[in-house]
Amino acid sequence: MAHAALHFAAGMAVGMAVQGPLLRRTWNRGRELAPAILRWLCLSWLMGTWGIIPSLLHYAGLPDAFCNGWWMNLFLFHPLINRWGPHATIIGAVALVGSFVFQYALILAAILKTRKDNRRESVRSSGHPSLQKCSGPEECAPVSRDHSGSG
Amino acid sequence: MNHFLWGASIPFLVGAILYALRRGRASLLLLILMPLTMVFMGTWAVAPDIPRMLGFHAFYNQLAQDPRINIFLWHYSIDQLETSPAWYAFLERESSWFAAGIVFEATALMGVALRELFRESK
Repeated sequence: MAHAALHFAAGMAVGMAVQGPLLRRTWNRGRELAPAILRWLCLSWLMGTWGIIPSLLHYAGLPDAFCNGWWMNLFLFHPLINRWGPHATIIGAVALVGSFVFQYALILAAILKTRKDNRRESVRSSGHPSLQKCSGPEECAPVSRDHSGSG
Repeated sequence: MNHFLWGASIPFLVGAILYALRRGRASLLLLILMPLTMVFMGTWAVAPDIPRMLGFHAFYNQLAQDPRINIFLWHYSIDQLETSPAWYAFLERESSWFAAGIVFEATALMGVALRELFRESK
């Protein structure tokens, strides 16, 4: 099971990395963040599940020779990762917990960002003079009034 | 793992009750405090096993035989229960379920946070 944690974490890392650039673009745009994060999470968990398929087959009773064959490298280098020493247990647990913490922290950050964007949007729509001319959330930072050179 | 799951389950259940009482809404404070409390309580429950993980076996054995470690959420009593042959066989066979329990709690927590994100996005 501890090795399975490492395989799952490896899969999650691959999934997060694949979907990462798209999520970053969406984050910067500031729109449709929730579905993008859901897609990102789903892909990472799917990849994690893909990574533990040989472990599941082994758990289901298939022989070791089959579950550790070279063809199982298709499942994110499962046999190669299995060759890691006894530290794989600890590394797996830490990697899995780290991945969950990272994903959870990102969701919380997204909630905060969405709230901030919503507040700006509502201030803009209510007609605050310093926010009327911006076209997107990233451009809607409150304008500091500098009267030094304006005369 | 079972000690950690037991420890983490207490704040998880409290959080679940609060979530139900607030009709499916979770404040940001709850979303931040709940996982922190779960990790703290889980670590507290498993604390007497940490010396073994770090290789201090003599200290671990000394702790394991001391009933006072019950302050770590009844660690001693649970260990005594687990060493009975019937329970030992059961736990050996079903140990994966404890990891599954942790994953379930983490996933449920993430689901609640994600639900809040979708609500904020509306």
